[in-house]
Amino acid sequence: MPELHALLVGTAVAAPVVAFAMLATLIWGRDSVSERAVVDITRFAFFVSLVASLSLMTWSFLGAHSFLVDLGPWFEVGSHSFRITFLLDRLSTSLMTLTTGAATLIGYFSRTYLHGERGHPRFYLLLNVFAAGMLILVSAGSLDFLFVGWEIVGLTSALLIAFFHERSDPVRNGLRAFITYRICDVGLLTGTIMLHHFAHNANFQPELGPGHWVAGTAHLDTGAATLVALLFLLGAMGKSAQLPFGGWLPRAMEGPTPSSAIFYGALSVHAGVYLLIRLTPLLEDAPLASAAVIAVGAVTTVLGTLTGRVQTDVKSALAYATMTQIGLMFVEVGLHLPGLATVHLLSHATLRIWQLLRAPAILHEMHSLQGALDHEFETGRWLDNIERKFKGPLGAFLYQRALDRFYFDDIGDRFVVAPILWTAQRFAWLEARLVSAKSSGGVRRGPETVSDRQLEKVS
Amino acid sequence: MIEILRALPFLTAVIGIPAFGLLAASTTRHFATSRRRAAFSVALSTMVAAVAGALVFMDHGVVFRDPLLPFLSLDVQSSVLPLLTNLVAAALLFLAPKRDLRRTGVLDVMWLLVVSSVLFATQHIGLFVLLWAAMNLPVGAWLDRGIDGRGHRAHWILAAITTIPVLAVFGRMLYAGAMSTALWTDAAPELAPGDDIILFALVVFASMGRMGVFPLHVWFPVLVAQDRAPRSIMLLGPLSGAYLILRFGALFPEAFARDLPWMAVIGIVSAMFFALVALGQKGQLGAATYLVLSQVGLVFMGMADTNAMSLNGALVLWFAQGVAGTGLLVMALGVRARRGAVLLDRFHGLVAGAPHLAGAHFLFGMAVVGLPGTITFVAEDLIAHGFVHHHPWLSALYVLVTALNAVTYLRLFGRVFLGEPTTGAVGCPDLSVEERGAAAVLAATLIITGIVPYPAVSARSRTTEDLISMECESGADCEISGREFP
Repeated sequence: MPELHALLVGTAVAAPVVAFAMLATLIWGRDSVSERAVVDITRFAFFVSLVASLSLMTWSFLGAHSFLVDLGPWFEVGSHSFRITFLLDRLSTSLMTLTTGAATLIGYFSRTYLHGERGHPRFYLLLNVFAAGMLILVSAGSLDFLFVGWEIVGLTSALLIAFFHERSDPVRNGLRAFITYRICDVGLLTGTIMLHHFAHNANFQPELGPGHWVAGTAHLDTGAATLVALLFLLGAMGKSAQLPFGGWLPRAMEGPTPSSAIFYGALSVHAGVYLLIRLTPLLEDAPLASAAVIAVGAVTTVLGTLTGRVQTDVKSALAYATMTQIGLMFVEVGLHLPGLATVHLLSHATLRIWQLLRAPAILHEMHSLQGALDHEFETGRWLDNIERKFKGPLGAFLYQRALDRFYFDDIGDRFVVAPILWTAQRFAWLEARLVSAKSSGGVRRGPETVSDRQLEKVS
Repeated sequence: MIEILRALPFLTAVIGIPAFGLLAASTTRHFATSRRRAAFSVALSTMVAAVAGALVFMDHGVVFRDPLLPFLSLDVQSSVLPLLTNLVAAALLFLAPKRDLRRTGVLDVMWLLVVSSVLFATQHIGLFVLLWAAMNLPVGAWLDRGIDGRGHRAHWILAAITTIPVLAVFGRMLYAGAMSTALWTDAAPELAPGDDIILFALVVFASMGRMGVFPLHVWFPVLVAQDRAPRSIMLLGPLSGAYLILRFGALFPEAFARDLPWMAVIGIVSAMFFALVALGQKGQLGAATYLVLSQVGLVFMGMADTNAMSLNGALVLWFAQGVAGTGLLVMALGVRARRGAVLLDRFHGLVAGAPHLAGAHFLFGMAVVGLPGTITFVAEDLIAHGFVHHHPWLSALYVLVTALNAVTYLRLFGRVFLGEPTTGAVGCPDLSVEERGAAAVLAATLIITGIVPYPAVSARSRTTEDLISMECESGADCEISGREFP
């Protein structure tokens, strides 16, 4: 039986990796690749992965125990062994099925949606990498292995936001998302290292508790648990677009609709919630960190709702709605209700992927439906009623702040990004002076300046 | 007999084939022919070095010697490091643009390949010092008879900071009568208290110069910018400076153990400084240059710990950065050769004309900054976990540097290759079929060793064990080394 589990989980993760390798070889070796070949390879890989995930999920709901599959060490030195372990319980297998299901759906949808696009093979290439990364993330048996999937998901996310790279704005937004991820990944990586330091291990079992879903206790004292949990919270905030790191999410909608749906509707954006759900035993030992999780979630929920109400395009409104719902999931996790957060996560992901895939055609469909039924739909009446209660100075104040997205992006740019860039430029200037002083005549400002002058001379 | 059969042919091939390539390349004035001959010999030598490395790995790091080559041996260093040097040379010969390579560059690359291969295999201290000094000679320019005045000051700075300290150490050891047989294994200097610290500090100084560690790095960016890139990359890429520390560290174990914290601080300061400098660069070549220097600082830092994890990580990172850093720099030179100075204040959209160049640049760049799936990720994971036991704050800084470098690289890539194409970007020449093949081989090396890192990690473990036991015997704090050491 353990061999069968290992085979199934290995197949689920390996299928998109093999498809990626095949597509990469095809694309690298040729100037143009058949769309049909690309789609067929991807769909087959996702189908295989879906079948394997469904089998594992069926087993986990019918079986009695969660299961740790150890495929052996990836590498080991001394006492440190980086083992490829998968934790198969109801939480992970549910999310594996969600991942492969969503990826299969997007694979089908994009065949026609992106037909004729120049970046068609690139989209499928990145979709395969993303699926592999997400499967590793949700099934990893240790935080070390989870980090591998986490990084892959972050990178593919940034690259797909910049999918339409002929325009500068998507590229700029992709870079912004990546920078946010990296800043917050410092929290995840440092937290993992600290967990190794305190617990000499970063496995989900037995350090963070066994159980069908998530249970047990973490073997850390309160101070250590609080420090580690706060670092993980930082990582989760970046990936799940919680304030003040949520500015990248509406900008991420610059990517193609299928990638928005799978990344920012269904999967990637929920990675932070998944991490916190997995770490519930740790949070139970760290009341301060739990309070911080609740505070972050609550603030994001309120401000996300207000900001979402003033958006004028459907994808931005959906982005803020996503942020709001994830804020609620943070609150649930902070209140130590991982079961509720899991149900919320799964239902929200399926609803949001449907909404985002329908978003480009929503007006057309609504008008067609209204024409057929011969009357107009009334939507959001109760929310409009609430809004009416805020008429007056308070309403105007909130409206203005919501339009400005509560200045979170401006504050981040001014007080975090700008000082780092300023420091970097001063260091670059110092370095140029150092190089100039130590090198032969003609060098004044730095290496690129030298080449500029040489090129001018050559031309 | 078996040892002879293994050591003699491989050492002859690893050193002889590049030497023959140098000879063949120098006998023609024609650049393309010279490059072709050199590239062929390097490809052949790389395959031999790979086989030699595999043999040594299968024999768990046994040292093979041969009576016909008394001062040379085939061990982990003399098989893995020539392989790395060959890969760096191959990257330069196959991928460096003609504008930067020229015939002088081809001859320089081959000269440094030959000298480095002997340097990594020699057991004779005097020969080692001689070869170490010979690496600074501008042999390519002499053979090409095309010496011009540019860059000489930087050359002399490099030669002075790397050669004089090593010569001083060698002279002091001779004076102390330390070298009865002139072999590393028999050298045991009996020095006055405190002398070993001064001598080891001189070794570290020379090593910092060759590795491009702050503040002894100025030669590298200057030479890269001044059309001396192949020579400077060949000097930096194989990180022979790290090898100098390993070799001389064994002679001064107490000083080595005592200086470790300082080395770690120098390494992380260097890495952080260059990470910020790379972020503040206005040009793509400058940003790539300082990114590579920042990662080299991490190698230096990783070597400065008595922990098996961080030491192994540093040694693996040494290999990874040699290949990935060279790949990134060569791609950056390729961008300069095609489009001139590409400034990072706006988007250039070069992917429209050169998608394969963009792809190769991205792969090498991601390998430099430690994308999971590349060997750099493995190395960085080991260093971070190794340092957390003794120096948690250094570990945190280390994580910050890697995060900063990743941001800098993606920004660099985005600005150069993505965005609205600038005038002429659509017509930017892409990599040729041969260049694609060479880039694919290098990228495959990084990815395959990243997915299956066990051989690369265990090939280094013997060196690590020697180092740790040496440091622990010297009284360094080795209580959490992960292994049982006396």
